[in-house]
Amino acid sequence: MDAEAPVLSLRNLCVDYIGARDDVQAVRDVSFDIHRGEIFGLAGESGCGKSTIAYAITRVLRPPALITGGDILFRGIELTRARTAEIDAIRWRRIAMVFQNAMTALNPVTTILAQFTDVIRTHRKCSRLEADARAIELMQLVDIPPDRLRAYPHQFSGGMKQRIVIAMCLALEPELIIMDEPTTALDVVVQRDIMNRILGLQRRFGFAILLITHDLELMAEFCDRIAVMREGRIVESGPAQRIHRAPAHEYTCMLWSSAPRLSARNDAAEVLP
Amino acid sequence: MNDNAPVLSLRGVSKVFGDPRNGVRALVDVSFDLLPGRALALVGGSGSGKTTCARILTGLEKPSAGGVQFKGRDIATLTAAAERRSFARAVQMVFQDPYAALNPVHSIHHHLVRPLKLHGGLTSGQSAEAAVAALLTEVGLDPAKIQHRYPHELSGGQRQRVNIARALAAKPDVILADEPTSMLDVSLRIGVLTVLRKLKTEKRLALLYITHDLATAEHVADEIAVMHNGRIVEQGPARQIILAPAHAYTRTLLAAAPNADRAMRSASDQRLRAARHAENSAFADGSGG
Repeated sequence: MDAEAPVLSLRNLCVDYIGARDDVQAVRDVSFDIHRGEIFGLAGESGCGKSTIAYAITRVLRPPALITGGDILFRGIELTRARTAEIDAIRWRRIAMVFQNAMTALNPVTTILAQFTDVIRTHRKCSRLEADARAIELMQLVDIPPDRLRAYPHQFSGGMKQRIVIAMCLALEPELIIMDEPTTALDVVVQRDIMNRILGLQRRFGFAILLITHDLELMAEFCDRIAVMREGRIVESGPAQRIHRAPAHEYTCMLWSSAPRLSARNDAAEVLP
Repeated sequence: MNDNAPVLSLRGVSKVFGDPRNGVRALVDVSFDLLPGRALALVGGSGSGKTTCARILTGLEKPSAGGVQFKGRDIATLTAAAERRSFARAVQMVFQDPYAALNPVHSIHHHLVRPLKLHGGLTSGQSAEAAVAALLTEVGLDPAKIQHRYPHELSGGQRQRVNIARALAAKPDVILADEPTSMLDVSLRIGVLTVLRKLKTEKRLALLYITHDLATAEHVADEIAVMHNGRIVEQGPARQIILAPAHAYTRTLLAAAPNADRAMRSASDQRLRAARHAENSAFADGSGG
């Protein structure tokens, strides 16, 4: 049954960047829902507004960015007008975010353990020992030996750093994880490992995911539904496989045609009825 | 001289960074040839040694063993200033980051005039203006619109085309392109790749295209060499590598590439998940809370 209310609803969201002469309308009239356990993809090129939406949801937008209209409803809470204390109670604990660059998302001067306990103890009353135990559990979840908790970020590869960031997002059992280009800086083999892990963890814990990327091929493989953005607007949205097999908007078609496909794929596709 | 002789080759090159015995073995006995009018794609994961190959080919890095042959001569023997300069002219690079590769305080015109004058790329009687315009046209940019602009006024794709034009200004024999489109928007990628492929054929350039993406490698290159842990594990015609990969690592790369046809989230899967959530939501054994 799908009578359940969505985890997240955007209704006619508008975000402007205020300029000296003109304002830039970065997000125009964007609406979508994300349900529990769903992976929702937001596709588009740089400057289309997809990251601005992520920042609006987590309320990390700073001037000159201004939310000029619309609502962001998260489990009955209207985030655009929520007080700072309400937002603090939601961030990390209920909505976590994996930022674009795995290489720079971790603090280079403190150990991984210190960063885990910082996240856990800021948002939850617990002893240092309890936080340590939780950090060990989370490292095991992403298959990194817990004895490496004493290491510093530069001692890990890019893929391991991204796994650590994902583990930190899971620390407080959020209902929604926003992932902004989580695998863009990684090579294809590491990318697949990370995506498969995300899928496995998502199946186990049931959180919803907002996946932001420019890679339609990746998105069509891993998402339930996709919205394609251009110049601040959603030009088309629908089930991932429909966007893949029967894109309706010319911009979506252009995006598909601008990434070369392996001939093995195209040959296989021709054989299909 | 044979028209199809290799312009630039790696011959049994090994490279160790750090201590000669315990250091990082970045390359192990790597050999390949770059031929005029042909493109070779070097494909592999991060840390496989692709970029080290390019740095050794340009002489930026010295091999620990083996050598680089430029038109039949080991580049270590190019000691005269004129020889060094002619090698530097002949082998040009296009880098990964179009946003960092152009000087922000100079116009596009300046970026192109300098190599033209430095490497004598002007044909007799041709004005610098005409040469700059010809270069920009070659890479699909409108000279009137572009040449007096500054890098920050151009998109990433336009900047990467300027970088290719800058490489062409030296009248090179070889272009080494290291992940030239990985930082570009998707819609701009195919244009840049197609320009590289066209120039390779028209100007009989030897092209080395470095990437971890087999799909673009197939689009650009005639031949593909797959690298893993500093070695070339498989090399052959591009289509053959894609359709009949022989090495396990090549198959891993192919299987890892995103594939929209393989929908991981089919409708039945969604129903299954909905049922599962009902009985088992979030972490069962919470700590603290």
